[in-house]
Amino acid sequence: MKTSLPVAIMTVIALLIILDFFVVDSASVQWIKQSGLVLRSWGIVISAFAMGLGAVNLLRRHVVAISRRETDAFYSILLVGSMIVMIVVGIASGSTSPVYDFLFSNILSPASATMYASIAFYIVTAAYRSFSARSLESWVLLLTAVIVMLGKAPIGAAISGIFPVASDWIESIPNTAGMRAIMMGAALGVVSNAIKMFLGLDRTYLGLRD
Amino acid sequence: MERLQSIPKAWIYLILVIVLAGPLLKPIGIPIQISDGVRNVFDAIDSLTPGSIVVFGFDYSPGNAAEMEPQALAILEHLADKQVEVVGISFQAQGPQMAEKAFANTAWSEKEYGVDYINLGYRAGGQAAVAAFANDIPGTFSTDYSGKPSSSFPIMQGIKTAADVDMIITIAPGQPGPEDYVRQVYGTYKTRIIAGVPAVAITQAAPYVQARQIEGILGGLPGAAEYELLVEKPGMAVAAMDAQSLAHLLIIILIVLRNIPNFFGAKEARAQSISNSTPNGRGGRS
Repeated sequence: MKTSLPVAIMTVIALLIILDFFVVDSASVQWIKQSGLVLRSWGIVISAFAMGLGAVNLLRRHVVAISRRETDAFYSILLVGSMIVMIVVGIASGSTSPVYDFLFSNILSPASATMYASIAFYIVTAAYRSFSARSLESWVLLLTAVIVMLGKAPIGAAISGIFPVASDWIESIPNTAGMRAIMMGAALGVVSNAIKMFLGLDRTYLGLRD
Repeated sequence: MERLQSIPKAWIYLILVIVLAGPLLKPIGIPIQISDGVRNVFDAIDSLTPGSIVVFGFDYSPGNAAEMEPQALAILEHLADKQVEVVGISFQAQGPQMAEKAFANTAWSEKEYGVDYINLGYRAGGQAAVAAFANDIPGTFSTDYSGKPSSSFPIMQGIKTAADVDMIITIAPGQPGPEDYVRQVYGTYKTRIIAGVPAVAITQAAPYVQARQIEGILGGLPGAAEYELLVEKPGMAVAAMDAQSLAHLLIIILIVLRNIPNFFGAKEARAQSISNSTPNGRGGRS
């Protein structure tokens, strides 16, 4: 009962959602459409709670780090402080207020953009250090990378019209073929996993190993 | 020769800064060619008639705005020109603020909020939220970003499901992204979808474009730059193209430098192995 009831609930809910996707919108099956609608709304509410739970966990983890005076406690203070300020401002004045907008535009945006931009430095040094061609396969990979990099920037076309054409061919034929195979494989994997869950063969989502 | 394989990181960083900052301060003006993919996106949006309903997914955050925002701005300029109605939504927590910024920095700032465009804010839930949106737009986005009931705005009259929408445009660097719209919206409602993705995600979206489930994609900053030229409003993306070109060239030069010793080393090793395999060394046939 401890495991069969959750499996039964999951199966019924999942089947309703799947059926909703396939049935036409007619009066006789309106209850399926309505059930799908309600269940998806529940999904959104649960997701919102999950975000809140994540925030609380993060806060707890860093408050503990501060109280224990761990090595990087300074960063925890920064995180907790920023979080409290954004929460207080957001709740007190709303996310469309000038104060919230100021914090978003002048602190969060530049800080996030800086983090993202710094990846460029790592990409360049990583490409330099890791692209060491020692076999035929690695030379093929290297050549492909060079063609795509040139084809994806205006300088490639400025050097030769071949680069954009070759880059597009690589992207739309071999690359897409590989991607499609991966996607189909993953989709079949998801279907087989769903069937295992419906049949109660996979109960790991209940915290059980077998 | 070995020194080519161990250029210090600091030097590479310094060269990269120079290569990126130089063209931004003094543009070179490398010509930008319009690709077929970007032209397809332009033609699809250009086919919209005045008054068409377009749902615009601001599914990006400040972190990836450098690559995604120019795409959003260029498309929004085109949409403003086409006199369509735009419903802004977001499945990414910081998306609504990005939408506010985008509307304020384009021709939409001169249009009437709630009549010509609206920002419906963010809904959590990822793909489940996309599915809910497709089935019930006013129910999923019951209020706009400022908290007013969405049904109170004239633009929302007559919009119930994704079937009432003429086109969905999503600018999304991750999840939920174009694939989720294809699965949850196109699969059921056949609503036209256009996507803006980062350059690294083009491969992921390409199968859907080939299957015509997504009508067109803009890829990364080059896609945005080409679109800016098509709408005749060159902006951030066009300005950044010289820097991107030189950065790509720098990476290629560094990779070549890194591999020169490998290339000559392999040649030497081959020569050495031939020499060892013959009894009298090189040219040892007697």
